[in-house]
Amino acid sequence: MEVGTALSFALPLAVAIAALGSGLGLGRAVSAAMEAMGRQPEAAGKIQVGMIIGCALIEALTIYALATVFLLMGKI
Amino acid sequence: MKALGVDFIHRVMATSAVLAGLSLLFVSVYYNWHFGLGIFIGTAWGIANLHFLTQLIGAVVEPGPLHKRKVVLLALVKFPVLYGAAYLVLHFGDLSMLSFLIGFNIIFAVALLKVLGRLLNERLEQVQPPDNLNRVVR
Repeated sequence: MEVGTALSFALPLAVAIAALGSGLGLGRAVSAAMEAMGRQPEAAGKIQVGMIIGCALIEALTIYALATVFLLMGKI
Repeated sequence: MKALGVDFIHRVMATSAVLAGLSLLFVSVYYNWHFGLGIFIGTAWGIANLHFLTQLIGAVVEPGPLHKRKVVLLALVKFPVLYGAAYLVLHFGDLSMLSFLIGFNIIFAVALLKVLGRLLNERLEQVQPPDNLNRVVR
């Protein structure tokens, strides 16, 4: 199999896997944070900051995957 | 470690903005104008992304009735508009992806270094209380 053909199969799959992992991670993080906020409303502000930073980091991982795909798309 | 407040995110964004300006100047002068611009745009995009994420989560989580129009508007700006803008800039702007990614990482590096600095500061205060430190200095 040629490199271009392999990449054309692998790149969409890579973005899909990254998006799936990121979605699952975000879902778990946000649900845990919401649960924590429900249990301790007085700590909501502190939990919210942790959640925002966590969400940004998880989102960044997907963006890295997307950027890698964009870079490799030039080789197809 | 003491809990981080929302002001932490604002300080990270402000520091990243300053760093982006400095990077633009230094990289433009000593390396390449396009690469410096890519770093600057990447950082600006990262700051905008974090800002809209903070606003969106704040709008969803805040106590009281949910402002649906605000949430929808923020979600629209954050996801299609911001990501579309990044795609257009990278596709038609003749910027290198590497410079954009370096700029995008600056905001995370700043956040990490700020947390590490705070952690280190607290450890040092635990090891040597300020009163003892003053006595030694005197």
